[in-house]
Amino acid sequence: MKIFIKLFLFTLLTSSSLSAYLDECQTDLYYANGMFGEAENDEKKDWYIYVKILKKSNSNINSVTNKISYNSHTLWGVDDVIEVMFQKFIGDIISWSKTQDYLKDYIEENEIINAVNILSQAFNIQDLATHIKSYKDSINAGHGVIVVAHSQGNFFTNKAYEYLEGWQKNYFHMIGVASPSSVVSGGGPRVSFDNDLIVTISGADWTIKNENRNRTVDGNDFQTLKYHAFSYYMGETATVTDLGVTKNVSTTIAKDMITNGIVNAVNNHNNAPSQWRTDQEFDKGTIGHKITVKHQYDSSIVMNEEVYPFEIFKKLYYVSGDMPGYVKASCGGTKISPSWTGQEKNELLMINNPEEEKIYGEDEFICTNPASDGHQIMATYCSYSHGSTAHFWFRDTGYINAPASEKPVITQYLQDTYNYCGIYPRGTIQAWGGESYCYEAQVFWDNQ
Amino acid sequence: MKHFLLTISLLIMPFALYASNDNLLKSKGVDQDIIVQLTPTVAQTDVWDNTKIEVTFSIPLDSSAIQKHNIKLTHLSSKTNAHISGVINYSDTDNKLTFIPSKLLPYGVYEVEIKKIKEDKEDKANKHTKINKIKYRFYLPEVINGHQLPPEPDSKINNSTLLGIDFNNNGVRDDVERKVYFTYTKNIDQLLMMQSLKTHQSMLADPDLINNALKWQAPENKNMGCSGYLFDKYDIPFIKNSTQFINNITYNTKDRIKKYMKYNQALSGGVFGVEASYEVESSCDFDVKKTLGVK
Repeated sequence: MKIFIKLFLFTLLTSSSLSAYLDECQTDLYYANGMFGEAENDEKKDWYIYVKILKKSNSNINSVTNKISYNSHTLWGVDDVIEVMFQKFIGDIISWSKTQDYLKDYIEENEIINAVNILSQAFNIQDLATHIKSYKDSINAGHGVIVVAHSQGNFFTNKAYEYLEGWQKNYFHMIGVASPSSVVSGGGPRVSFDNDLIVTISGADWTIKNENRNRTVDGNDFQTLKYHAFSYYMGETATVTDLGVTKNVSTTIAKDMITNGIVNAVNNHNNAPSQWRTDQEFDKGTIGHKITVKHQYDSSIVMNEEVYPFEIFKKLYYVSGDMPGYVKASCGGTKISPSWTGQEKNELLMINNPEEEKIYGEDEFICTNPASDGHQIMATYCSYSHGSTAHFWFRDTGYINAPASEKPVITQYLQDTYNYCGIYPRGTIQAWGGESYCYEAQVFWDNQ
Repeated sequence: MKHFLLTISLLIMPFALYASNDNLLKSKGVDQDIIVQLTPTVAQTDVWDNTKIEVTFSIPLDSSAIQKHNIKLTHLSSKTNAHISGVINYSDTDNKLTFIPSKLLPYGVYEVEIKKIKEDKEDKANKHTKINKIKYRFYLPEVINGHQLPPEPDSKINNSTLLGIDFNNNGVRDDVERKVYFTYTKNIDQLLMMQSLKTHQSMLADPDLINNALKWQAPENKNMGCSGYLFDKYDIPFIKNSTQFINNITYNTKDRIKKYMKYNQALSGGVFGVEASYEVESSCDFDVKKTLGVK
């Protein structure tokens, strides 16, 4: 059976597809619903509203989209209960909530252990495959994936994680809520109340203390399903009878943890390395300076469009505006400008991200050889007065951008390869007859 | 044959809602040749509270014989079958008899009785024409925020079918529509709820709902996109527990719940989300600016 499941998943998952635009600045925020799954539109709308409000109060996670990984396939293994339930209701007039409450009570009283055991061992193959494919598609499109898994959704999400490629796991984050599993794949937070009945099934003592209790009049404290609903974890009220008093109670501790977990995961994704590296470079030093990119981990993922190389180690994404196209840049840019206030002579293009990253003109090959001995300049280190990123230009093999901190290592390499000439102060290259706007220049030439 | 019977029963169902004295179709003398126009029309259901009763004839009337009691307007839904007082006028230029009630009419079923009207004897061409008594009924609905509500249906009839009663044929079951307008006080909330409820009623009406389950994502997303747009653009808060409210009032019989459960099972395993492209004004099926009173 396990082999069959693996074959089925393999068939469904081997085709990788890219969404319309690659966007490494986007995060897809999934909700994997639990064993008391409400109606699909209920789950979707609640999640949609939560994400909308979260985005409004956290401007730095604007690039988050909402999705749900929905499952209700077997009604938690209690299909047969449905007919019994309908027979028990007197008359024809009932309501959706009433049926949901009945099912919850039934499971709490009769089937909870069986239901959870079934769910932990037998996944609906089709459901799982669709979820995995969706996560993979999100990651292959450059997106970060965050799954907030509730209850049974934890089993699904943990299983799905196993089917991700190693590199894809770096872009996958999970938050385990009200989890019957002791595992949160990828080491994400586990937000599970100590007196949630489903949570206790996991046997894990990795829980958080619920300030609200479910005690008998004698003070005996019991776990209950009343504290299992996702809405309760999200700060809504639950109706419980504690110490003989029936009341509505709530707490925001779990919601705060979930929200922090999401914000941290979004930040992690924004700081994660790009999946794409430079392949070829064109028209360096001109306004048409572009690169092509290669996927770092999976050669079957291909992107054929040329890219504006603002910061080649940063994210790949698409901008619209008058100069639409893909960029490699820090996140937050929406348009590219060829002119702007304060533009310096060597600055050709600017993207309007917070860093205002630029594409610069090239200058080293305009320089004449200072020794006038016929040797060619092979490389130039050019540090601009603003920013911490330096440009190492290579005549034959393009250029790399590197943090200033890596300068010593690269300089050593250049010294070993070429004849190191020394550091020249600002203005030196112009004095040689070339154009340079470098703060300082470091020139290397071969020693033929 | 089965479909034929179902169609017939659905057609007559709205009129079967009322007790015998409220039967809207009850009328007399309304098909006389000399009647050009009746306002309200026979069994009209969307009459406003400031309506006048107007009868236009093809022949002139004897204006000297027209008296106050020629037109009687009775409020059948009132406990006492109250008569409505008013002023009667006759225009001999267009042969129109008008009754203007002295106050705005309360909602309910009305009966109009026009009697003892005589033709103009000087009009020799029609001097042998006799005008018989005219009697018919109309319905004046309750109005909330400018919205005409359908009457509360008989729950037994309403819940005996999957779709129930939609008297005003606006795509929302009448009991559900009334519940929305009596629960939510803000017009924008009422319209948002009605938009979503139309989707759910259409889903119930879909004979192949299970196979079409995915197709219903788009209208659902549109509904959510509308509320998302209002939240972003006008800071209008989301309606608390709106989906639970919708599910509870829409899916309230065994058949309705079973169909909805199967629909949800058909969606199991799917990944769904509301894309930003839905968060636009055009996702709202009502006039947003007019509703909010903004330009």
